[in-house]
Amino acid sequence: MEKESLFSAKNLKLLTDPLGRSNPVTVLVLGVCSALAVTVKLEPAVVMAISVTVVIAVSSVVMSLLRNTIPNRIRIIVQLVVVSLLVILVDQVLRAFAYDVSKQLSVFVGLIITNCIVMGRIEAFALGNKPWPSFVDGIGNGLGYGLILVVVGFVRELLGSGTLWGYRIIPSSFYIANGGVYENNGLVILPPMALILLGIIIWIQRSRNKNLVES
Amino acid sequence: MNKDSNKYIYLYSTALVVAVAATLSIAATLLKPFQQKNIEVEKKQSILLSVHKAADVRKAKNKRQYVEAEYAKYITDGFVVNSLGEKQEGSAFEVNLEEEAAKPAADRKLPVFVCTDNDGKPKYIIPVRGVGLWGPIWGYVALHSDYSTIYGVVFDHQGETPGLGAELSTPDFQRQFEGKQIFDAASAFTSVKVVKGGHTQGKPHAVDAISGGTITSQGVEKMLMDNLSAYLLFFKEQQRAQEAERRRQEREKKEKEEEEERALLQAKQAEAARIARRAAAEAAAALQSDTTGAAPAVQSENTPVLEQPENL
Amino acid sequence: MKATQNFFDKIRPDFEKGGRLHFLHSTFEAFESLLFVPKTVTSSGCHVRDAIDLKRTMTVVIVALMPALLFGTWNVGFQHYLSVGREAGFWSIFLYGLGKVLPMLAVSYIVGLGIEFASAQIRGHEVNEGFLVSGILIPMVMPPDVPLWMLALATAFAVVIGKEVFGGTGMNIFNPALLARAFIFFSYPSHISGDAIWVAGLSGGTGVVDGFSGATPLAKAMVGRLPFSAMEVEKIFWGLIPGSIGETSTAAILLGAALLVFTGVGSARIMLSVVAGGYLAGLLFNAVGANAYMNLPAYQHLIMGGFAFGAVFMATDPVTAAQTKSGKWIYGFLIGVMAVVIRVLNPAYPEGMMLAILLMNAFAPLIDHCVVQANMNRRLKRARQAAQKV
Repeated sequence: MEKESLFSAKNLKLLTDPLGRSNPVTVLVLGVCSALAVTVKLEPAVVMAISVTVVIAVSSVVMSLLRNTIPNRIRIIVQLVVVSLLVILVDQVLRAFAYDVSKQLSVFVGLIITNCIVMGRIEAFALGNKPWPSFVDGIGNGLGYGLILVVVGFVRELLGSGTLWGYRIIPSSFYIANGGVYENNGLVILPPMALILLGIIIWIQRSRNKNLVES
Repeated sequence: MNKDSNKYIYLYSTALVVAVAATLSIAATLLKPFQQKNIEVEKKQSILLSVHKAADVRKAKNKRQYVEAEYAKYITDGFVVNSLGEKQEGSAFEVNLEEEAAKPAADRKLPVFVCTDNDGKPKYIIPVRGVGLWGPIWGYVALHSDYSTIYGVVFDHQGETPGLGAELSTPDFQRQFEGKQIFDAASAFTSVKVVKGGHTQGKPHAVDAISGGTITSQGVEKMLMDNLSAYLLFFKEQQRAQEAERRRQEREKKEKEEEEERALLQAKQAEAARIARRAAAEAAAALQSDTTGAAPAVQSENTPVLEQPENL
Repeated sequence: MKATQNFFDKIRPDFEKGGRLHFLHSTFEAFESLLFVPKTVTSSGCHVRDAIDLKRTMTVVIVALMPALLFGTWNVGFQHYLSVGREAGFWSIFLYGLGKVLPMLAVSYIVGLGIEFASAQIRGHEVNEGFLVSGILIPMVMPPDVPLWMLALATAFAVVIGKEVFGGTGMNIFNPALLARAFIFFSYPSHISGDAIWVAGLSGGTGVVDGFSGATPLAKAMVGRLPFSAMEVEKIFWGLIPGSIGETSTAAILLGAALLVFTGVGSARIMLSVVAGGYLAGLLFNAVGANAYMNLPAYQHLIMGGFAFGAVFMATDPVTAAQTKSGKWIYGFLIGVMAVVIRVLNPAYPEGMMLAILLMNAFAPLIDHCVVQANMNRRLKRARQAAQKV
C-alpha cells in the first residue's frame, strides 16, 4: 500500500475541515454543554480547549494503535477506560500546576469524558485509521472545538466582565458606579445566553454556507 | 489467539485495567505534593488578605513564593480553642471548617490566627463560614488586639449573583467593616449587623447591606453572628486577661510612683536634717569661739533658713 | 381622507416593481395599510369581509392601554415629588412623568420598528405590524429610571431573538415585551430589583426626604413588613405606589380590561382563569400560614405588583397564549398559581408574574396539543360506541 506522506493534502484536510465545514460544535452539534459552561472567561475556555484537544488526540492515537487488538464485544468499554485515564491525568496535572484555572473549570474537566466529540471521533475515525491520521484528525477536531470556545469566551468575557484574559478592556471610569453610564451584562455570564450566542454563530455560518442547511 | 474468545477478553481486560491503574497511581502520587501546596497557598492568601497583606499578588512573579514569604513574615502564630475558650493542641491551619461545622458545638475546634503587623501590634484572624442565597459563603475576620474592633475582613462565595450578592467579595463592601466593633461599650456582644437602607456610617455595630442582595446580606450577618459568638468565651477570657494585665500594670506604675515620691521626700528630709546638724555644729563652734571674738556677721550668712519638714 | 388617498395613489408607482423606490416597497405598504384597508380582492370562492384585521386589533389594545399609560405617566411624577418632599401642581407632575416616559417610548419604537423594517426589507416580505403593541408594552413594564441604552438593547434582543428568529409576528413562542424585561432582569439586575429604582431620581440619592422608602408593596411583603393597613391597600389598588410605569394602577387596568372584553379582542377566559389561579394559590398559602407573606389576604396578591397588568395585557397575547378554549382556562389558571407561588416561596424573585407567563408560554402548545388529543380520543370513543350499537 502506498505510504501517505505525513503532511499530505489528505491529512491537511483532516486538520482544516473541522475548523469550518465540519466543525464539531456548530455543524455536528457535539460537545455543546462544556462549551456553555467554561466560556464565561477567556482563560478557562482556552485551557479547556487545550485539554480537550490533548484528550482527543492522544486517545485517538492510543485507540488507533490498539485497534487491531480490541475484542469487539468490549470495544466501547475499552474506549471509556482509555479516555477516562487521560481525563483524570489532565485533571490532576491542572490541579497541580494551574490551580486557579482548575478551580474555574471545576467539574467540567472531569466531564470531558462525556464530551461526545471524543468518543465520536474515536468511533468514526480512529478505530479505522492509522495512528498518524487519527492524531491529525483528533487535533483538527480539538481545534475546531477550541475555535468556537474562544469566540464565545471572547464575547462573554468582554460583555460580561469588561475584561479579556483578566486584563481590563472597558475602562473603569465608564461604569455607572464610577460616574459613567455603562454596566456589565449579567446575562452573558449565564449559560442560556451562551447557547443563544452559539445559535447566532450557527446562524451566521449557515447564512454564509448554504450547503449546511438541511433541505 | 482468537480476538473474540473469552480467554482473550479476560486477559485483555485485566492487562488494560492493571496498566491504567498503575499509571494513575504513579501520576497521583507524583502530583499530590504540588496540589496540596496550591490549596495551602490559596488559604494563606485569603488569611493575608483579611489583614491587608499580599494585596499585590497579581504582580508577583512567583505567586507561591510571594504568598509564602508574606505569610511567614506576618502570621506568627495559629492556635486552636474550644467552645469554652481554652487553648487546645493543634495547628490552626490544619482545621477543616466544614468538618467542624458538622460536629456539635461543644466539640468544635475553633482556629485563631495571629498576625504581627509592622507596628508590632497583634491582630487576631477568625475564619467564618455561612450560607448565602445560592450557596456557601465564607471568609476571614481580623480583629485588633482588643478582640472587638475589626481590622479587616475578606469574604468569598461560590455562586452568588454578580452585581448583587457577589458584591460581598468586593473591596467596597469589605472596607465598611474596618473599625466596626463586635462588643459595645458595656462589653456586651453585638457582632456587626448588615442593615438595609444604609446610613450606617458612624455606627460602630452596623454596615450597609448590598443593594438588591438582601438574602446574601442577611447571610453575611448571620455568618458573623454565629461564627463569632462561638468564640465568645475565648474573647471574654482574653479581654478579661487583658483588663487584669492592664490593671496590674497600672497598679505597678502607681506603686512605683509612690515609692519615688517617698524616696524624694526622704531625701529632702535627710538633707534638711543634715543642714540642721551642720548649723547646730557651727552654732556650737561659734559659741566656743565667741569668747575669742570671731565676727558674728559671717555666721549669719552661713546659716541657711531652716525649712520645717511637712507633716508626713 | 380623500387627499391622503390621492397622495398615496400618486406615489404608488414609484414603489411598484420597476419603480425607482421599489426596494422600500415594504415600508410603503406598511404605512398605506395602516391608514386604509388593503385593496386586495379575492378571485375565487366566497369570503366574509371583515373590517377587523391585525392592525385594527392592535389599535384596540393600544386604546385599552391608554388609561394605565396615562396614569403611570402621572404616577412617575407623583412618586418623584413625594420622594423629594416638594409640592407640585397636576401639570408639573404630569410633565415630569412625560419627560421620563416619552423617551422610553421613542427608544422602544425606533429600535423595535427599525429592526422589523430592516428584516422585512432584507427578506422582501411585508412589514409585520406585530410590534405596534409590544412597543408600548415594553416601557410599561420597566422602572422609570432604566437607562435608555439598556432599554434599546432589551428591545433589540426581544425583537431579534424573541420574534424574528422564529419567523416574525405570529410565530413567536414567548411574549416579546416580557422577554425584554427578562433580558434586563438577568443582564442588569441592580437596575430592575432593589428599592432605589422604582421611583424616578431615587437612585441618584440627592435631595431625598429622610425616611422615604422607594420600596414597592412586593418588596415590603418579601421582607415581612406586613400586614398592609386598609389605607395602604387602597393606595395599592388605585396605584399611588412605586412600581413599573404601567403596572401600578389596578383601577386603570380594569378599565382597559373592560374594553378588551367588550370588543372581544382580549380573552376573558384567560383573564378570569389567571385571577382564579392566583386567588386560589393565595388561599392555599393562607391555609398553610407559615410566615407573614403566606398570611397575606389572597385578594391582595391580585392588586400587588404586575399581577393585574400581566393577567390583562400579557397573558392574553393571542400569539403566545393557548389557542383552544379549554386550553385557555388551563393556561391562565397555571399562570396565576405559578405567579403567586414564585412570589411567596422564592426568596430571589419578588415578582413572579413575568416568569410565570414566560414559563406557560413554553407550555401553551403542549396544553393545546393535549386538549386536541383529548377531544379526538373522546370523539373516537363516541364513534366506536356508535359503531358497536349498529
